[in-house]
Amino acid sequence: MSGVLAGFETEAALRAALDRLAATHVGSVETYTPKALDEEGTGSPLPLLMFVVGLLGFLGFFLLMAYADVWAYPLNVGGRPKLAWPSFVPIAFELGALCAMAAGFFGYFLICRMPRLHDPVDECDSFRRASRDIWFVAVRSDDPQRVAHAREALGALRPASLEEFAS
Amino acid sequence: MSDIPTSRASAIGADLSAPLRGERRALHPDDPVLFPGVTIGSMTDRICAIALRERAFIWWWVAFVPCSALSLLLVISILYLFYAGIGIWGVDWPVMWGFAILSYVWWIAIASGGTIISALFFLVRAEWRTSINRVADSMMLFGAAAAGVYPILHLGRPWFAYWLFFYPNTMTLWAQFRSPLLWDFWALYTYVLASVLFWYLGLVPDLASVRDRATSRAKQVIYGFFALGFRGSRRQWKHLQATYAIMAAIMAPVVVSIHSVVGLDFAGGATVGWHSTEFPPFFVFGALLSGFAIVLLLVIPLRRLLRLEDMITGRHFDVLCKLLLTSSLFLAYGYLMDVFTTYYGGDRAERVMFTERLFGYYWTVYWGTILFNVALPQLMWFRRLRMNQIVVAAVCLGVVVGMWLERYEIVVTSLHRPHLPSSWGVYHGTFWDWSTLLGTVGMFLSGILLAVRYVPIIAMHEMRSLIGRSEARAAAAGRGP
Repeated sequence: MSGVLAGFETEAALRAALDRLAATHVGSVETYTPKALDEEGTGSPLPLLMFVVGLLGFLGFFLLMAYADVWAYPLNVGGRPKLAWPSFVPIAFELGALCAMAAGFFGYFLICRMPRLHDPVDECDSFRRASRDIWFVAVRSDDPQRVAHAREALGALRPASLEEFAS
Repeated sequence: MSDIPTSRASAIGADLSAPLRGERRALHPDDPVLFPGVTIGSMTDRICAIALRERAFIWWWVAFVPCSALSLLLVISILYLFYAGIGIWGVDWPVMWGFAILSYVWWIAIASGGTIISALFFLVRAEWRTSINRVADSMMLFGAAAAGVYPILHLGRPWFAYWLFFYPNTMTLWAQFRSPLLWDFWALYTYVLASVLFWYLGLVPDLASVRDRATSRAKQVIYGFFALGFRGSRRQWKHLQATYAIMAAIMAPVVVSIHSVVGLDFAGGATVGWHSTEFPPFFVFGALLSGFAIVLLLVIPLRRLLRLEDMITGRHFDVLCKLLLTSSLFLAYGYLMDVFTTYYGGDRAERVMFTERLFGYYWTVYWGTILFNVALPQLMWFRRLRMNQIVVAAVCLGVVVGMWLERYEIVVTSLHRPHLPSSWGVYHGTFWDWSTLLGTVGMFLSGILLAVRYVPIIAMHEMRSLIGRSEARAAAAGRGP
């Protein structure tokens, strides 16, 4: 598998390149950009995951406290009911929130397949500027013809840099 | 097709040995959030250059050495406490809660203020938050760490700390989940862990930027390790934005809950001066005030020393000082209601205690609180004074002291006049009380200084979005009629 990496000075130039690549049907296209291309970050399943895990955490810890205070170790505090549920809410809320945070954090790295400390694209010298001010697009394919084709299509767009890498 | 950069140095895009510095600028309330001329490239280079400096600044060492010495004092104080027990502190009947609790509450307020800036103002899309977000986040992290030291120390028998956890045991005992003190334990540890996750996730793209600018192998490996392979791919950005936004939406209520629960620690007891429904929101107001004060105290020197004057502008000072004033007014309302409910209510013990608080042995503590938290922040009504960094720093320093005095007033003066006159007494902190407090201050400042030295102190990926929006606005204005 090999690929080609093209860097553009502006976001608009990258978007134009993406449109061109979409029209030419080359291999898989990946962008590497200094900031998010999609400003709003929609379409991620992580918020739903965080909500569900948070809710399960809330319910789980609530039930655990209810079990402890009603069945396992009932303690009469001033004649109040054993199932003093309002007093279980703060801890259940806190731990539910913690579960949701942890689900988001670890879920993020799972869904992005991180940590991934090396990627073939890192071998390109120009690639370091992806985290600064250059907008990159990488095309990967098993077929050297397609890579050459993508290189030609990208080269026609006058990118700031154009490099090939082996993967 | 233009040239493909071949050498590493040109690939990095900047000469790190001569970091680009912003020009000196005076503060003006009509400043933009960001001065024109800051580009995503120059901003990234400047912030990375701070983290990647070969040698630390002289001022950094001047600040770091005493702070780390104080951190050492904290370690010594804790070791001696574990050896000798809490008898080395000033706590005794009737004042059984002393420095440990009041300093804990003080630190939690400072940390909470940082979270409010980084999470709550993220949700309302406040642009001024962008460049001070990392400072506020670091303040949250190290403030929470400083607070997290105290509850274990205060237990008296710290080796039984694990009794607070949920676990089945041979004694068939469970913790008392109906006690606000246990709520507080869980609120604190949720807050500490959640703030670490929130801080780190927001930091990952910036660590990647530093990794890509680093020229020495060791720094490339270390920053590369912590950046976890973030490359700015579409997938990484998309999920990062979604997750970070939801995390901010969780952190905002968590931070309100933790300080409310701290308030409930007091309100839940039938102690004179504590048994009030006002406490949870009153404590949150205090968190707001101390948060804005500490952020300003950190931003004033950092802006100047790191030459960030074009990114942290008069606009930031204007907003933060106005918020400081607003939260001071909230707190003033709390103090007023405290007086009103005491004297309007018929409880004799409450009135005796409050009169003692106003005019008795600890009168300086009460009036110091009013002076520092209510009177001095009124200077922030004036536009000219909001732009005067010396006045702002003095007011903020006053607030930091005032907030500590407020906690001293709540904890100590309430306890020193219990219902039974035969139990009345006075309290003073001992050497070890003060050394632990100073030690946590040292630990907090050392943490902030280490963050300034090794972590990008401005959230670069968020700044890039802000710069993009500013440039788009400038272009639109240029084209306009």
